[in-house]
Amino acid sequence: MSKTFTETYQPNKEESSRQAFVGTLKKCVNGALEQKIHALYEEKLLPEYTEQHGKPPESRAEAKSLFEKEHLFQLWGSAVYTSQDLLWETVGDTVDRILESAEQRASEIDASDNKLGSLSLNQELELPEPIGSTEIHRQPGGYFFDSEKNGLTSPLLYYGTIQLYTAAKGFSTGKTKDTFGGHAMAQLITQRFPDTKPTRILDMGCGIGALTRGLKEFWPEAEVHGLDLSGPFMRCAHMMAEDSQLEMHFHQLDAAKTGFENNSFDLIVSQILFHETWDEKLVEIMQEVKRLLSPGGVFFNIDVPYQPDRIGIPSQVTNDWQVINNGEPFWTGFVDTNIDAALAKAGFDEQERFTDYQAAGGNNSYFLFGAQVAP
Amino acid sequence: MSKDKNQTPSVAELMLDSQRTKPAFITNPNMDQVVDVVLRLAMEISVLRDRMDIYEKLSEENGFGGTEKIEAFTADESLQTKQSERREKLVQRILHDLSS
Repeated sequence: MSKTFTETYQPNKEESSRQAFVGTLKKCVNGALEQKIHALYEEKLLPEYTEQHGKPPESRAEAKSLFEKEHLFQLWGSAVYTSQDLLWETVGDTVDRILESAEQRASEIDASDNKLGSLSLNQELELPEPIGSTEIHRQPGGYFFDSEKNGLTSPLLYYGTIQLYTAAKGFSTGKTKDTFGGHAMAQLITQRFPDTKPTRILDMGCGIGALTRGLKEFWPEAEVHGLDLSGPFMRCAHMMAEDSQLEMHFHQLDAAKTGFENNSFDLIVSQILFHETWDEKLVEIMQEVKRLLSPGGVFFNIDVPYQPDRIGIPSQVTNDWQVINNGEPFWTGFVDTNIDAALAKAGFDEQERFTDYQAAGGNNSYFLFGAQVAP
Repeated sequence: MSKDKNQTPSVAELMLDSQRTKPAFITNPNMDQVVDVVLRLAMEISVLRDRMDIYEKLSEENGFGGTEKIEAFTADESLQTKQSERREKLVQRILHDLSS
């Protein structure tokens, strides 16, 4: 057998240096530079507006034009945009160089008779619009690039950015098993629902399956399934699970129409799935979850904590900019959605559902929501 | 760029797509600031390249191997920290130039 995928994806020295630079650039632009915009608002824009109108701006719509005139805000936008392009360009150099080796590895695994888990692709799957035609995060080609061949460019680009961010946060790349927090999520679940001992787990919108693998490591006895709309991502997730000697099952499916039997999972999770969808779709997915959960089963989701009542006007304005300019088309819709009402609409009773925020170090937090159905 | 139509485009080619143009965000670009930054970067890159040539030449002359050894090298934690701090200082200075 050839090298495993994680052995294959190794940026060379120049690629690493460029990627490290981009990681730092993003940290400074999204950190210190964005903080300057907050200070500008508090010290100049807010007092001026309040004096003129006799009250502070009440919404991002009201405040947006104040920011757009400012050089600092324009510079921030320009720098965020360019840093995102540099992200794809520098990760793309590595992806283009190693793509053939990764394809070879995936083909070997596809053809192997000794697989632990399974891969179920569905070329006929209809992609719900506008997801199918959107370049999320402006990833070149989007998540469905080269779907006819289930070519690995799109999941490799995604994996490369995770490696880049992990390295930028000071962790060594490729060494951390739990890169994307599967163990952390499992701990949050057991804190809230101490009796959780899942036998069948479903991770919706699982992408390359990083979180999914963490869940399988945490609950090794459970049968673990992941689903995603993207065939290339499912093929990559399957390869990485087999490389890690983990028995897991990946399905190219729409989370709103899975085709799994009623009551077939006792734990259904998602991480940063729902902010990549929209209000109607969100309820459809929740209704499907309600159908799939067995009695006493748990539905647990982690997503972005940027609801307008949680963050100030400057963050609302910068987030709105990301929606318009940086491939986050559904973000605003998600944070403006009343998730508790959506859960209720999907059929979860008041005693069953929850929404909460969880501190995550520094100024960071997660938005948690879901339900535990009656036993 | 003219490749077989059936061949999957590389990411480098996708990035050159003519529809991927940057919208204008800055209404009043201060070209003096842009010149400051470009020249600072050019200077720093030039300094680094000069210095690297010396290292590579000395390394080769003293039998420590050339490019191959460099590619195979793994930075220890203290070097990683040093590089990361230097990188951050550079970006902060650039952003300061552009926003002051």
